[in-house]
Amino acid sequence: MAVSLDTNLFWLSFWLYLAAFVFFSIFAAARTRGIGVTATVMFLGAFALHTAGLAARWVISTHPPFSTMYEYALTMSWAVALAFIFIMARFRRMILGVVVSPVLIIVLVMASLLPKEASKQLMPALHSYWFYIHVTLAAVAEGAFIVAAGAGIVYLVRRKREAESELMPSHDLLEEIISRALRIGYPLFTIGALFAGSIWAQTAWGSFWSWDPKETGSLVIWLFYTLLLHQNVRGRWRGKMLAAMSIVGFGIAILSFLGNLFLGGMHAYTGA
Amino acid sequence: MAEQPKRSGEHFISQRLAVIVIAILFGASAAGWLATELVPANFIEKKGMYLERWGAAGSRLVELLRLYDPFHSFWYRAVLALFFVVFLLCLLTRWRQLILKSLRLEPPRGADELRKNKLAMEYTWHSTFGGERGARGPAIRYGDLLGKSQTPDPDAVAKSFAKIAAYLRGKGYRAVHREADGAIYFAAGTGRWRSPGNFLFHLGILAITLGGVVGSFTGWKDFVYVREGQTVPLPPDSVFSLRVDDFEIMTTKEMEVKEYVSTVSILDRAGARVAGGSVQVNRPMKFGGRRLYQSQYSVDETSFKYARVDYALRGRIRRGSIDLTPGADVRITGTSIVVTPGRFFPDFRMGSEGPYSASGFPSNPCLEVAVKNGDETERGYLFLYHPDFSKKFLTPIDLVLVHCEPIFYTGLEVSSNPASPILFLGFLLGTIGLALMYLSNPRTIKGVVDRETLVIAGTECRWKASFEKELGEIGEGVRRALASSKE
Ligand code: HEM
Repeated sequence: MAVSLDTNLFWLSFWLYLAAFVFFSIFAAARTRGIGVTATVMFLGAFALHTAGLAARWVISTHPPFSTMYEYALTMSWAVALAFIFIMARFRRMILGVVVSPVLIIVLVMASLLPKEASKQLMPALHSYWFYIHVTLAAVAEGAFIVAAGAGIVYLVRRKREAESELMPSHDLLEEIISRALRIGYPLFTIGALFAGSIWAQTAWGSFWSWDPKETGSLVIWLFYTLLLHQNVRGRWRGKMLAAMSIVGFGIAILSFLGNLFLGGMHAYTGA
Repeated sequence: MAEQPKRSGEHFISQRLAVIVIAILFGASAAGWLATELVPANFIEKKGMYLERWGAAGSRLVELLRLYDPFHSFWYRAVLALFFVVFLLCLLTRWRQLILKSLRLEPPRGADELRKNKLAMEYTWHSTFGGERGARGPAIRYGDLLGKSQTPDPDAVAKSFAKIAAYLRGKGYRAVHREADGAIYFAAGTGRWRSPGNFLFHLGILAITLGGVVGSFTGWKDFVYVREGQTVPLPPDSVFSLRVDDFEIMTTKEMEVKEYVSTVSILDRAGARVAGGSVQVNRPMKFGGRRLYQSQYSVDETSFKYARVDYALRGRIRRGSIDLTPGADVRITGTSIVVTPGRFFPDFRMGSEGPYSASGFPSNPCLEVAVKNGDETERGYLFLYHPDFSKKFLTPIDLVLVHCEPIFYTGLEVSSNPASPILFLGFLLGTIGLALMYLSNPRTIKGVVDRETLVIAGTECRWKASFEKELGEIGEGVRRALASSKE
């Protein structure tokens, strides 16, 4: 199949994210505002291309871009970028870009290894509103968890006595970013991955829950974040521990993603 | 010592219990997940093989703990039961506190209680009023505001409080107050839907857990494979029967499956049609408390419904078509040539032991035919999609398979889950609860106004960094409100 418009757009956005990452890194070392702004502008440009690529993909394949592993990876990384932009807009701290942009690049590289053919036809089981709700919310939730983990990394590497600046958020602010990202991710994950997912399973396969590896994977993720929130609410996992645990949570999510890649089950996406 | 602002939920002992049971369930689920990845599901069927591979002790352990199907093992069920019971007890004993927590606002008992508050301590109120005196305290002293010499008139307390309350209301805070000893003690809060939302969410999760348990005991599931035109008893009790009138696989031009559609009728004992409709993936049909799902299909791999073959007689200008059905000979009119259909292969492959069908999907349909002309009989294969590979007969006739309708069996799942209303209720409560809980951002500010001082402290919040900033703005706002002469 010839390289199509959407694939071109994704490659362009990939290179631009990469450039943004380089600039964010220089920014982290040099702490010069201009470089940070340049990195941010590049990031926004990459995001625009990424969005255009998804739209093109949607038009070409005539269905929302969630049905293959490749499309899912692109949508999820888009959600990460979106969540990052939101947080940047709210807290005006660019340093997070240093951790978020490489995560995006990794996901996009992983995506580029997957088969890319746009299939016009969804497997009949994927032909359902619940499926779209399920996948969109789950992708956005995972995006938020990634941002929490990113902020967790910044939290852990930030030197204790480092002065708060426009560039480097204070520990308190970083904790707040983690905490907010978790509280965006958790409800979306609950509603999207678990509730909508099991309603979809019920309409497609006749049972809400069948203990397939991907389902148990998301149950494990969800229980972990439930535990994390309770510990946080009761004052146990705060600060450094919260940062570390948000990274652990993301690690568990990655395991589930990989398990799905290797194991299949009902959630083996079409064509992947 | 400075007190941390309280965050929600710390004063429930059961929070600790909750964490313990959630942690146990997490551990058990993670172990089960790992087991499904490491232990093949076919362990029981291939026990001999695994016995060799893992040794007696290993295999025994796998069997004892049911690691090939961990989520139906006794240990996982025990953990689930424990979780359910603790969860239920927690909610039963504490539902009132859970619902009311963010709805209840309590004015402080005294100013000292607030002065100890760490969050307010971090903010230098004095600097707001221009006098940088270095003292870091939560108090806005009227002395600072109005000049030490002035003593506010007796109404000042009530008036000041009215201004403060109005200002806070504008910020989305609802205030309650209590008067005592010429002072006003107040609490102002926002985000009060959090606790009811939190309660609804927990209730929803409880309902879902309950629904899962009830469903696993009362639900059932059965499969029927039915050929087009065939009638079979409808599970579970055979009071009704099920007839499949039609089954169709719709595909695109590229042979990708678009939809599977079974058209079915439900018949009563007397054979009268009482219900019917189509069943598709994602569109189950409901009948009498059960649901029919399009679950699988298969093709009869030996026979077919009917086939159409075009023929051309070599050496003569004669063409035509014949329709073949299994086992029936067809003579080509005006000749002595007889065509007899033989075996049918929906997905033809040639193997070392002869032809076979690689799958039940008609991706390479092939019909075996025998062509008899007098005493001579030739056999050959006709391919629907690859006519060039079809047999060239010595008999002067060319045959092209132009249509071949396989006999489909549709695989329908008939199931019933009496717990689904409980589950849907749980999803609904859970979703509403999450929305209420996470769209609200509960914060509480408490204060004391008396003739000398105004103490304000932020006492509860979810996010300290933002709250601190907000408190700074509120401090400034309150100052301006107090300074304004508007009543
Ligand atoms: C075992 C019994 C449980 C008890 C006694 C319990 C109790 C509590 C309490 C007291 C709070 C804090 C409420 C507040 O701050 O207003 C809370 C928060 C919460 N609980 Fe539970 N809980 C239990 C189990 C669960 C389970 C199984 C889940 C999983 C779905 C869950 C999910 C949550 C969530 C998401 C929060 C909010 C955390 C936040 O974002 O602040 N709880 N729980």
